[in-house]
Amino acid sequence: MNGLVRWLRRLSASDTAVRAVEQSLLDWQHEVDEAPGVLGAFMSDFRMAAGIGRLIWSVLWHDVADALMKGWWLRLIGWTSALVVGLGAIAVAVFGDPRVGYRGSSLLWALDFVPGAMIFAVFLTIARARRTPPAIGLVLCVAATKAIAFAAFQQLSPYHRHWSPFILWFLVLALWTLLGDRVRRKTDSRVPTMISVAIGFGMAVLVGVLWPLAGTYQDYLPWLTPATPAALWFWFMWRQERAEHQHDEVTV
Amino acid sequence: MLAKSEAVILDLLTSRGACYGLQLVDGSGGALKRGGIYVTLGRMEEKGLVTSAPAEGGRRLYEPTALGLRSLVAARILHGDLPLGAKA
Repeated sequence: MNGLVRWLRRLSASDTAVRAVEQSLLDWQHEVDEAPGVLGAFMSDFRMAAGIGRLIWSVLWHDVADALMKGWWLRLIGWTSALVVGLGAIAVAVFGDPRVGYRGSSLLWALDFVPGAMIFAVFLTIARARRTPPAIGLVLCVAATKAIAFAAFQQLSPYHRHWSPFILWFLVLALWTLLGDRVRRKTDSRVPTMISVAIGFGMAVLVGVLWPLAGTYQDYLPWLTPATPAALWFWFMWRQERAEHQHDEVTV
Repeated sequence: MLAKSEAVILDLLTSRGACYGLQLVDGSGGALKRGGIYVTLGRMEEKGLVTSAPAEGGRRLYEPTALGLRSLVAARILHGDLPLGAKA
């Protein structure tokens, strides 16, 4: 059990999540110890196994909801979403044709700016709140926000009916961030982080060039899409570095 | 404002005294589930509604705080279970 708790801590699950798992397992052990006979122990195992699924969902929802509630990045999501809807409404009012509004929204969704910003907002929120980005929370956030975004642009824009391939960029950059952060913690050096950013950004630009050459998408979209999270990422790192520098100065 | 599960937990802790999580589940008559009890208790601890201390075998015993008791009374008054001015 200690191994499981250590593993959860390594994944940067919250203290509440770790304690919930730890206490549930202790309850399980206690019930089995107290159960009369083999059948009683089996029934305890059965009951607890049935509760494990609920426990996992409770823990995951708690961590994700906790991260969502803490972030001022939520405001960015809100304003960006409002921008998309607002621009669509203005376009419809100005041009008098609903299709223009739909296409305007569709363009922004196609840029993946909104889904991308949402995903990175959640990610950065978690990273800022905990300093180590939780892997489980990140994967869940990516899946959840993408599902929400997909459902939203299905509603907003009937002309945009495909899953954007650019979601891969956010995953790639997120993984680079995790890797860079991990290496940095081991070495206490800022160089690996910046290298990982450079590689992530370089890959984004590389495919940003290759993509239009392949003629799959319009010329400028692939540039903007990976550039958005990369810029957000740089900004976040700069803020974090500055905060740590100031903290060091105060400490010294 | 207390969630329903929080009110049930505070109600049980008030009437029975300090309890383990599993005892709360067993005493709730199905209102609390074993899969969610510790997340709820953790959230309540963060809010300052309950407090816990390690007991036998590392399991934690939960007790209501003064704030938790006041919140329960307020919730009961709000739902009409207690008249204004009554004490729990």
